[in-house]
Amino acid sequence: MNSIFLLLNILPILFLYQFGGDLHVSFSLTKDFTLSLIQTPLGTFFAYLSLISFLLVTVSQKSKKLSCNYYALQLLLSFAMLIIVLAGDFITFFIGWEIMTWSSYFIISKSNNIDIKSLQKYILFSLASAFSLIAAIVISYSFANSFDFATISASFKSMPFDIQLTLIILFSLSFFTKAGVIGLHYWVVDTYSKAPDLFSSILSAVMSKMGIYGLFLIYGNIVGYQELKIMFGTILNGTDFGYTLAWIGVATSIIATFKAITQDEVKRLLAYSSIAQLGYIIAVIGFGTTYGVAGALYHTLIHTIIKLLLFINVAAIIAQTGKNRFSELGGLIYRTPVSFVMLLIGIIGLAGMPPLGGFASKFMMYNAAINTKFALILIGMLFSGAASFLYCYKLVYGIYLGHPTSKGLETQKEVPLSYLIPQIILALLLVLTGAFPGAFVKVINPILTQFSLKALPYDGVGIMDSAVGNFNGLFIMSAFVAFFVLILLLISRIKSKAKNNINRFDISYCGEVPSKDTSLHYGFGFGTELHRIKFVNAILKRSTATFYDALALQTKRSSELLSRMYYGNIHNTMIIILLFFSALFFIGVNS
Amino acid sequence: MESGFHGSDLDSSLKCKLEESGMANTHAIMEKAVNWFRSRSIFVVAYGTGCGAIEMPPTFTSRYDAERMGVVGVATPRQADLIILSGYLAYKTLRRVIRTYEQMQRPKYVITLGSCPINGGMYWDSYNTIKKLDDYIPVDVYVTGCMPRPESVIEGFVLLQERIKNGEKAGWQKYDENLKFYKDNQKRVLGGHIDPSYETDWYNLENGGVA
Amino acid sequence: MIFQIILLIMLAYVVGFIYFGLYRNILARIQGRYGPTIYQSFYDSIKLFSKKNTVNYGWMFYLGPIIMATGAVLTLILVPVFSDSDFLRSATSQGNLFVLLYLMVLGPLGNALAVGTGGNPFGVMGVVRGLTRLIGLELPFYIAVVGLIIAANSSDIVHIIDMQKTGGLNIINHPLLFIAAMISMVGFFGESPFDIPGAPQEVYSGPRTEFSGKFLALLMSQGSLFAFAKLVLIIDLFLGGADSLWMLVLKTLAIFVTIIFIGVVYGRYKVEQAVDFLMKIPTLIALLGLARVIWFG
Repeated sequence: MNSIFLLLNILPILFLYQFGGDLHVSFSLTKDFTLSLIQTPLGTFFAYLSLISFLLVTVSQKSKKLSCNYYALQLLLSFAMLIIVLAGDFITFFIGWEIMTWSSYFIISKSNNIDIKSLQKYILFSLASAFSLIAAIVISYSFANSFDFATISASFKSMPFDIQLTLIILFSLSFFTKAGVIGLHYWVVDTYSKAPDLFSSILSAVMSKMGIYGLFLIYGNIVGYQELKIMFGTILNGTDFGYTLAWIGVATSIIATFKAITQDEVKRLLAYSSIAQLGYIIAVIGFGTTYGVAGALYHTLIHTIIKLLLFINVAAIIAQTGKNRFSELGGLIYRTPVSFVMLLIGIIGLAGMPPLGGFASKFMMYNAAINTKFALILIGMLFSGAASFLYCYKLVYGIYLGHPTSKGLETQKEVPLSYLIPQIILALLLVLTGAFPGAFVKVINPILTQFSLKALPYDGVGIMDSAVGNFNGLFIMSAFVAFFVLILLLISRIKSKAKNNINRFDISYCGEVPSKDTSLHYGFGFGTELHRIKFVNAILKRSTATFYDALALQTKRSSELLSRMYYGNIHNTMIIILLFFSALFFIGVNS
Repeated sequence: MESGFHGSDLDSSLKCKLEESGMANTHAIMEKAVNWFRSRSIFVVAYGTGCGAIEMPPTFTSRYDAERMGVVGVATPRQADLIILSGYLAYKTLRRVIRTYEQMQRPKYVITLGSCPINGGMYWDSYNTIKKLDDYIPVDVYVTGCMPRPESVIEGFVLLQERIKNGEKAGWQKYDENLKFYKDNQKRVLGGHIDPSYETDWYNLENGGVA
Repeated sequence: MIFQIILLIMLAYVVGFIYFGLYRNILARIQGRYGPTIYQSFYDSIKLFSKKNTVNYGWMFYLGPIIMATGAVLTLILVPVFSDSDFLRSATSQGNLFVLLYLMVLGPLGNALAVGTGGNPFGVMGVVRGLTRLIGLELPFYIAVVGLIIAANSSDIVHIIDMQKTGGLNIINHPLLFIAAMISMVGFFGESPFDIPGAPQEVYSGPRTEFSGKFLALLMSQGSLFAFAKLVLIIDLFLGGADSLWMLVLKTLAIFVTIIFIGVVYGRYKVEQAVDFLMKIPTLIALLGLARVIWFG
């Protein structure tokens, strides 16, 4: 079963590779409506990103006994995303968007630990996102008389300012919900953590990127970065619009980072981390400069790689041990060494440390902020990066280091090969993007041209060049490896008997000897200190849950109020409704 | 025990090699130099047993300043070269002391203060203190007095430094060579309630004692 | 290039160790003691390297200190040592300030893995304290660095040094940023009141609890390399670098002694107090400095 769907996943990649480049298909529905697929550089980038992610996840699903319709739904989802990124008009886009929502909804509902509340959250927010999208589409149709991207883009300039603003806000809201901007992220954490373990990787790595694609589509293609600059004024060296968006992104990033640190469930931590990383992308996506767009694209790529890697890794551990909390895991490093190394590479990338690709993308985003002189944005991003070390360490410590906290962990075996193969590929990708940060410039440049921005300078495959500083990824990677090996050789030459495989209880413990019952794993203690820091506690104690719960309560009350109008006589109720609508109608006609 | 922990420590194979190539002399000089450095840098874990604990703060702080001789206090036994036991040891304390001593990395030394670790002192007929510490862990330097003044403690340091510098056989080598003797004694007073040692198997010393 | 890198590492090693000897001496004099010889750190290091056995909890434990040392060496070779000559500067064009900012944390994070593998809860507590402290510690430092980057419109350190040759030293142009960065530096050097991770009376030795023998020696050696790199970075950013070896020694020593003097007179904060403090006063100072950079150039 797995191999059939593996093949089916490879096919679109081959197809895109063979026939792609200048794909333009249109299909007339009626005289007025045409569904069209147009391949743009941006779409191609996202198409490959999602297709390869699906392929890798399908590889790792081999050891799971999944039903045929699960795979079929996943394939449908992949197909829907392909439609979204290749769509040439809003109807096609919306069709893809809806298929994506529903197919993912059914997959999530197949999870073992899903509850009805999380599912409701997911579908409600997805619907809200879709409603906001369709409202924006209808408004733009009423002005442009077309659903075609190019036509809408052309007529956008002639729309009145408040309509332009409404459109941007509606579109943004829709895509923000998908990407999980803070405030609209209410569904993200529950869904990511309760979805099937391997499917979470798709949700985080690919589906959230559809929101990013949408934002690119609106800001870059439909509105156009130049038009955004004209619409909203400029501040410092950037645009007002970019600055506002950057604050939203940075706030998302900081808040989600602190929330991530205090989570006990592994996948919840990753979900918050995903929100935080997307916050970075949203912070720079509105800049409308070369480095802003390049940084957002680069981080999209890196985040996809990292989150696939981490979620697959964690899914493997959860499948192997049956535990999904830091307080139940621990001490797996010598049981599952390969998994450990993969997670290690993942978190080094997530923390944005230099030898790996995570740094290159962050550097690009920082450059964007320097270019526009958005100092506070840059500081916010750096600050959130510094705080993210804490959850990165929690992730690796809680699962692999320290001491095992439940039975069975000490005799654990390495995870199946099908989980490891995609991880190894992704880790290699991360190493390669770190060593050759310049290689990605060639992928970005056509997209920059599409947005009519200046292309990035290309100084060689190992060098990431920018106006405000450059670094040689290849040099840093090779110097790191060289020094590492050198110091390792030197140290191993020193004749000091290192007694290996020492017992894990043989630790300095104030002269005492800890036993199996002593609580030595500090994993679930992480983050408690943060509550004592006033500024951080102010973030941690607040939650959007209170807002949405209140909203739900108010909705319930008002619908109760509404239901009182129905007091047993259907005719009267119908008359009231009829009167209401006719009143609306007259108001509409008169105005 | 592993052979590497014994006696004069360089692997015997390496020693042979050195002798063959006529470098034994160089090796001896190296060993001498290293011993000098060892004597100049002693990390101390001060295990405050009994009344002598109060003598250690003045020894290490401004008044007597042991640091000028390279003697510094550290927090963990892993980093320590020297453990100072400053008085009588109850059986309960002995257990922790042995554990701490075994966690220290070789070369390691023991200094005791006062007469209690020598012969029990005023606790000579107590039911729960040990009388002669040297039966349980090897003591390198006894500093006498009840309690010894910091000057005496420093004199003990100097004596220890001289012995390290001269490369004399130290307590830890005796401990490794006569492990069975020490373990039997420890077992006698601690009875069945012996902590696992991890380095050696206390109960199977006949089989080599490797855990 | 390789020769220069080796020379640089040796220089940093010697200078770093002598500085730490000096540090212990100054500390002793302030406390009314004689203190050890200035070479005491060499003695300690050689003794630790010649320890006869060393505990090892497995390969990750073994590699942790090595990753930390690698991070320190990489940081060192990316910092330009002299302002005028290209001597000992062979690798600096390969990186920039952001690379340095992240490399400075790479080593400790690598070592944190070893600490976690060691399994000592005190060690991990130390690491967590360190990472939590980092939240506060990095903030003023980042603001200061970002201020300089915006002022120079470049993240290239050589460019920032060159700017100071014509435009005056950054310590005079941006004194507020300097003060904020120095407060952070006190923490980066593990001095009071921010010496929270390795607090001996609270969490054993913190992250170093389980390290002995050659691992501890390696950690000490990289510590001196790293200290030298941080000092040179600070004089590069704020004091216009050094044009000769004497100026290098003089300026780094001035910074180092200042940091010691600050560290000596304070007690230790709790971790939340430290972060609270760092997020208030130094951050405010740094933000004022930043505002000056943005609006008045």
